Amino acid sequence: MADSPVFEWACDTLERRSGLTRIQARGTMRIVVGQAGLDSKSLRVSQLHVVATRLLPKELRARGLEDVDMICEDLAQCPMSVEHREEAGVPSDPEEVFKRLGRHN
Amino acid sequence: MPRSAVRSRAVLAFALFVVILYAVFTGVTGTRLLLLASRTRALPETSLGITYIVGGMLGWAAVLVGGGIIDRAPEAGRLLNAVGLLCFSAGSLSLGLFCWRVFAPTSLGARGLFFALLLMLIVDWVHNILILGTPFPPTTSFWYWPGMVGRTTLILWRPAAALPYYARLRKRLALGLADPVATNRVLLWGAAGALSATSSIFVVAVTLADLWVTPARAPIAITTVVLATLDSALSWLAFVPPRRYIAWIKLRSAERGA
Repeated sequence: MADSPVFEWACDTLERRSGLTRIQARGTMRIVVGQAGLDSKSLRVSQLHVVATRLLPKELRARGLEDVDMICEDLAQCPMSVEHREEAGVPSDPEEVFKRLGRHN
Repeated sequence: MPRSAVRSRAVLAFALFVVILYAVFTGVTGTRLLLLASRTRALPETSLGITYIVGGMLGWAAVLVGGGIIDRAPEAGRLLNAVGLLCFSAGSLSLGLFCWRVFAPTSLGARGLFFALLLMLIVDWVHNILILGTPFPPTTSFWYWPGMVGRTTLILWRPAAALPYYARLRKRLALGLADPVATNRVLLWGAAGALSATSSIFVVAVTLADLWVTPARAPIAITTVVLATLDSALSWLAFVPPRRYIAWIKLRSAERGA
């Protein structure tokens, strides 16, 4: 299964804004997505926002990049239209299934 | 009354109490899931409900009653044994279907594993019931292994899928990206699965060591039943939690986030 359009957008943006190579940018994004317990195949805009503001700055500073705050702010501004490019029929996250399976209130 | 007889009665009463607890927890959980499935028509609640009701309740009931009456009513006993084995295998396969479709729906490996186990358990049932005439062949027979390996693998699939996913949900929870109640539900279901897997491996070890025909069979049976009941209690807490428990989970999560 391919990576989500949001993940692809984040990698492209990071590569363009940071000067990292394509492989470096994708690897960095995979590390922070994994640190957040998320999956690159189902990354959503709301999740990218949290990853870009809470985890990515530290990773980029560790790589000695400049303008880290600007880069992360750009990534946090991922438009919702990117998510809507996602194909229909993508399986639900297990969390969504478990939420439904029991009482919640 | 001799002391040993009093002790035997006490052990029997305890075992009966634990079995009733198991039946209540499993029945309530399975019914709740099947009622939900009747509204949503979705596969996860249907397969999990079948696992609890068919594999967890009907399978045990049929095998216990079948084994108990086989000397007096061989035909009825054999029929119940056949139904019991069918229920065990169907319940285990239903659990495997849930694990595949919920945790790894796009994985070719998970799909291949499920269909391989399906084939193995169909062959196991057809051979053991229609040809051999016994649901559980002795360990010296080759035909002991397909059913044991198939059902144990399906039972092991549950904690193997749920507990690593729980580890990911915990990371998400720390960032406010996961629901605390659903995260706890995955933990409870995975932990219950680990107990169930422990119980299965324990039963296989005891069976291979031929301990069911020794005086140790009573504590072995009690241990097995207690593990199964703990599994059913944790499953009940996961899917039919009291409102107070949910409120406590939410409060604890809010305090940690603050």
